[in-house]
Amino acid sequence: MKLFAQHGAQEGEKINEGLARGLLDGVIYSPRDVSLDTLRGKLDSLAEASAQAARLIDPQYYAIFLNGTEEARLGNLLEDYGAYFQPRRRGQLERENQIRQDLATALKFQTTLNVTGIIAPNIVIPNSLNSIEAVIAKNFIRLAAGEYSKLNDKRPMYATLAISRNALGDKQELVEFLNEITLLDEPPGGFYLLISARNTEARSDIYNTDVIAAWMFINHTLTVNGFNVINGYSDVVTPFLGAAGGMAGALGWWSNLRSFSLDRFAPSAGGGRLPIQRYLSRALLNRVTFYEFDQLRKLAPGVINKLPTDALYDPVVGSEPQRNLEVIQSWEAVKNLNSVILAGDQRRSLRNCSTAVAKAMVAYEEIQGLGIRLDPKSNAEHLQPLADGLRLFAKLAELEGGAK
Amino acid sequence: MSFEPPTNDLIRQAFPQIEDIALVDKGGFKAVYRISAGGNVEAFKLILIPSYAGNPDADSLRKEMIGRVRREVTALARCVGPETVKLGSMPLIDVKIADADYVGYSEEFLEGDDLWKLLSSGIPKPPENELRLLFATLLRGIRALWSNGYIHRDIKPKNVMKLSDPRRQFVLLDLGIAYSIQETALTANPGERMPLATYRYLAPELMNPNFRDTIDYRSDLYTAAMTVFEYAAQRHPLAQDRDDMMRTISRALHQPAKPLGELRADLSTGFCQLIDQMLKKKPALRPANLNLLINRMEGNI
Repeated sequence: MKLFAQHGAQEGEKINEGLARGLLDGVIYSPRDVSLDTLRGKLDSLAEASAQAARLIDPQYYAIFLNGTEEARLGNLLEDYGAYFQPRRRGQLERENQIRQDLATALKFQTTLNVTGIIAPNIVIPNSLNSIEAVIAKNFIRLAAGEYSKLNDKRPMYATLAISRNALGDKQELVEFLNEITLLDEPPGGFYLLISARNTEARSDIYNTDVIAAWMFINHTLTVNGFNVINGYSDVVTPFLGAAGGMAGALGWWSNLRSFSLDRFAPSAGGGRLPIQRYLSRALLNRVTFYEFDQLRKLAPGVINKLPTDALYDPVVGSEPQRNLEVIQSWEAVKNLNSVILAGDQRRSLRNCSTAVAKAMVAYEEIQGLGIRLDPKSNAEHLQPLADGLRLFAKLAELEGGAK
Repeated sequence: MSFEPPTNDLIRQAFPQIEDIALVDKGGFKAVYRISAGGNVEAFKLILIPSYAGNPDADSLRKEMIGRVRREVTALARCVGPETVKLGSMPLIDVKIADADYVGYSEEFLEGDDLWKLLSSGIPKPPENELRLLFATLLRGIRALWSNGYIHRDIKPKNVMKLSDPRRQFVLLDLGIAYSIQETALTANPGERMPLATYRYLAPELMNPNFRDTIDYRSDLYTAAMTVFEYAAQRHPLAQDRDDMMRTISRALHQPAKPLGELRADLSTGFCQLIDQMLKKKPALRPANLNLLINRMEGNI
């Protein structure tokens, strides 16, 4: 499974470092966080330095309803990407002509850039897969390939499918929705799949049985039907999505680049502190703060990945990494999880997922046995939803016996 | 239930273009004959339109039956590829024979046996290349039907002929209960009737009371895979001979199909996995890119 950098603010040299270390297979750029001129330069440089790396742009059209909202954090989208990022109300998108027009402009805009694939725009389905927004989203998906074919561009085109986690609870609606988008007269080459949390700090929004199962099921269903699926903001869930069939996952350096939420674009609720650097432990399938890691590495060495980027967490300085290198460790850990868990054969990969979760539960029990209290984000709350999500996914995908 | 068809003489009187006639097969309301007409050998189909005397819905039911035959003939006229049976020289005609209403028309006469007959006769298990050809033929047939807005709804071994012609080894027959997504529904009182189908070969989604809102060709992919499975393994992937109708339907809805590889270990994993995947209960889990599937079966990719 491929791993992409989910680009965002304050990129610095992070992506270059990730590519140089062979940890990344590509980049999904965020126009909100980069001016068009700079983006052009970055794309050209990336093409020159890493010709094999995928160069994609998330058009971030899903934030379009915030265009016009006072103090919305839309960054460069308003000025540099105004060719396709214009204010829209939902009512306008209930008209097929408007959708066609917006698809055409967003697709055409990307074809002028040095990207390796094109991502078609779409909105987020907020509450239900049986809703007006779901119909709008399906129309974007249905019409994307037709509009793209008019541009005579040979690069692969991915339709954005962005769904709020709130819309994933009703399995019947999910199945019916997938029934429809897997039977298109003009199918796209693949999908850019985003699962939206209410905010990027709400861990339980994503680590929820229904959400994990549905995210995997969407990957599986689309893949079975011949689509390549790129998962944005997939973070540690990436190998699980790979086991379900996904082609790629992505994560970036800030928490809002590891979990997708429109919150990132909405007016800010107030200032915040810089987050504490964390260490992503393969054994725990989770991050712990660097100071927790400093303690754990002595008492529960099983949490150590034994990968080259461990060196970035020097025990001499209390295991505190340079802030700009934290993501390098994350990329390496997820890449390694991908290689360990994904076995080629789906049933085996799913068993590996279950085994990884079971081992993580044991590792957490060991930590608890040592009397170490972990920060709320570092604890084991993600594991039961992962375990249950795997089982529910196997049931939904009719793979009973594949995940125990 | 099987009806007693009129005598050959009565049929010839009603259809004077028929020269020679011999009964080949008969079922519910239909009889199939081998005939000569204009010097050609053809298959003649004669369908009884019952009076439904005493039934308050008689008119609707008769209208439905005539509509189905007309739809079948129209669909066959539109799907002209070698994978579906072709129409013959006799157009659809309404006649009255001995006070009963019939419709009749002709199709090409296919020399060969249907797969059900072959299965019953104890043929050796077919090799993978033959199974791939069978599946590719059915996929082509499904593609041709869908491109005209039809779903076959009754793909099963009995409705697939195996011919001796190496250029045309398999042919899909019998669009008698084909569903059109573009035409007015034909079923009278649909809410009060079970879906038209052969229950042993029923795609699970057709048991959904609202299936008419969502039905698509993936129901045919299911039954095509079922047909290939049964031809390959010489047993049904779900049903058992002693099962009654409800048990058969229950298995279709709830029981996972037996993996083909367990019964035919000599077949490639990829082929078995594809057939297994087509037998999933949820239509979205059945690979639906027909062009890709046909290429795959024909070894182009």
